[in-house]
Amino acid sequence: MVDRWHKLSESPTTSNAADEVAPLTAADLFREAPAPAAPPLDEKLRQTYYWIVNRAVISPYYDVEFSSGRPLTFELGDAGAELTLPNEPSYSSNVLLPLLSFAVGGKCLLIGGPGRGKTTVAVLMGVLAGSTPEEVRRGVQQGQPQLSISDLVGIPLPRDLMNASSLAEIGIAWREWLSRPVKIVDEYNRIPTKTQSALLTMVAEGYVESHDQMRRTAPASGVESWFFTANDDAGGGTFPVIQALRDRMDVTVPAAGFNSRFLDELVARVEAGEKPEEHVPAELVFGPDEQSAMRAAIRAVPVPAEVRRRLEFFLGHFEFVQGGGRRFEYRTKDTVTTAGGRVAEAIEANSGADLMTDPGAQTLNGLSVRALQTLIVYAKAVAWFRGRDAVSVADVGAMLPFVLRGKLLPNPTHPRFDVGAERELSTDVMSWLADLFAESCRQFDALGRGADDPVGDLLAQLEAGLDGVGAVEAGRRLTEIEARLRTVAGTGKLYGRDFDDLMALKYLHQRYTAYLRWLEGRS
Amino acid sequence: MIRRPGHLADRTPPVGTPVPVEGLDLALAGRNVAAAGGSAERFAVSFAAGRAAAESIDPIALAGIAGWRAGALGLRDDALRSIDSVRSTGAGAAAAAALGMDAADLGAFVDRQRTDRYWWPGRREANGYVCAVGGFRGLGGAWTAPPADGRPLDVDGAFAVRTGERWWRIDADAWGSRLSPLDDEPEPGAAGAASVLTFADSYLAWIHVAEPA
Repeated sequence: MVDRWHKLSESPTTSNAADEVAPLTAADLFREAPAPAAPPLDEKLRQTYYWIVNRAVISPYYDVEFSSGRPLTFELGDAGAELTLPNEPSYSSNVLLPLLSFAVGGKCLLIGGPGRGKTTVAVLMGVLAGSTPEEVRRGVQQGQPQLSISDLVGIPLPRDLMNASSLAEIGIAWREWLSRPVKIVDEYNRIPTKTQSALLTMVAEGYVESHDQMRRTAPASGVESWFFTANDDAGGGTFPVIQALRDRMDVTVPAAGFNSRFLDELVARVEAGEKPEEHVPAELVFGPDEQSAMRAAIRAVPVPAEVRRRLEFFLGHFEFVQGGGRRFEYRTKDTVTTAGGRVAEAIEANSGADLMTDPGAQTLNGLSVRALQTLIVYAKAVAWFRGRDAVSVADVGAMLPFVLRGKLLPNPTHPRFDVGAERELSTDVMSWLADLFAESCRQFDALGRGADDPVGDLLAQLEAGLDGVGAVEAGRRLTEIEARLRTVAGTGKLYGRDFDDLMALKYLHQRYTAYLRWLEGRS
Repeated sequence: MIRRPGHLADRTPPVGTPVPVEGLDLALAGRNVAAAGGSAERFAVSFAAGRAAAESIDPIALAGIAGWRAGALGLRDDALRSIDSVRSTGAGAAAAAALGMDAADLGAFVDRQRTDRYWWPGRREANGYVCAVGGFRGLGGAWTAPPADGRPLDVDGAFAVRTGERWWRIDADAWGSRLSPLDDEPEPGAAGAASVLTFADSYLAWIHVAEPA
């Protein structure tokens, strides 16, 4: 019988530079061709992606789009709906993001209504890591209001509890799922708060503790990925998710609905009683060494300077708020939030800047270092997955909405969410985040920040070291720093995009002032 | 009429039944010919024709000649050496039969092939056209845009064309061809008698050799 599951794609991202035609002899025709070498890991991951979308999960949604040049678009209906046809391979986020999380050892939150394949995708990831479908299903932690810490991590051995004279003598019967490479927690917003805290230690620190005993959760490969599911990420569920645990979710991926045109496939599965996780081809399973090598290869993908600069510019928008404090350094959203104030009111009170053109005015907070690190890792992962040598702006833009969802919070009182066609962005956070990055890139180009970066030049100058820099040169650099500050002051407007530059100029000024003082003291 | 890629020397479909040879796995050889870009079917028929013409021919050498005739470009040098060898042992008729030509034409064919990899006895009648490559993907071809900017490369028998944004390398001879995608636009090589022709309204690229008047 034909195994309809066992068909691997030759992924369309494969690009072979053409070689010469290899010479052959007649004798070669009678030799068995050598077994094909194992594909490179990125190719294997692409094959896995295409196997999942073509065979396992019915997901004809290509929302992670890549195009060179302008893609073909169609305006549909009379309410501004637009369908885009990307001209490069594009991907289904609810398969790609979990797969990248598996590759980098990330934490992925799958959200969406019941029956949208969230758990199926997560279970597939477990099978890809080498566990059997039964093991993975047994290891799924079902969130429910009575879930205790012992249910989650294991129990102390009753014999030891009776005989031990100290905690150190109590052995713990650890739950087996704790050391699996892929860990799945279903409906994590139904878990009681105390148990969520235990979960946080595992997710954040990579270990679990009970009765003074500790167990590391990382498997042999050192790569562990977590998959959480929830029906929403807006505070629903039996228990509110503690913020620290929510922050640990590297990416948030909305599950797509079922496309009715693919009902035939669904009927075939019902009739055959088949589950996709029971049919994962052995060639697609990643061993522990492959998982480590894959993560190392992803981390090694470089982020070019021009991409870093564009990302710096984007990040710079969000921390600053004009009326947030008195001292310049304290004019931040964090100052307002930690004092119990309302960021939205502080933004609205700023009459000195155009709120519509300031991306920083659209958010209630800045970005955490953890979120930035995650964004960099996932941008590298998707670049590697696409077979690219370096991260591009498109890679960053594609991953950004999934990483920043739930971390960069929209300011609901911003006029943008109140006006006509833009109102839909108040519920479509992913599109809003994508648009925020696109707008930042447009401003970056319009302001010529890619070509002219005087603050970057000054930082590079200092980075080169102060050996041999005399008092005259140090004084000249101080003057240049002050001139830069005067230039910004002369515009009469202040935006978030300048805040980090101004802080960097003050930092440089301090370094040179101290250096100059040291030179003078020495002479 | 829809034109499809192929060699003009292959206008007649392969017909005939391969005869098993003890000790030789002809099915394996056919698979290897196909893996090298040729046609397993044409290989079998070509081999059978050679064996029918002279059973005395070394079957392995004959397989190499038949494999080249079936389109496996990599066998060209080995096959030319084998033809010389079998001619010296009096089995030239078998080699000619495998190539689908008269035995009287074999000597001239080998001589021409040494300097002109696109030569075959019917080329003059085909006005110098050798083969068409590519084709529209929707009809089983390779390309989604018509080829353009055809140019020779520095390697003998290699050309490049662009379809849309993508560059392709074409390797070909009188019997077979290979298409492979290129990462970047290649440097053009020196022009020779053979060239690659493209047409704005066609998804085929033609290899053509200008015949002396």
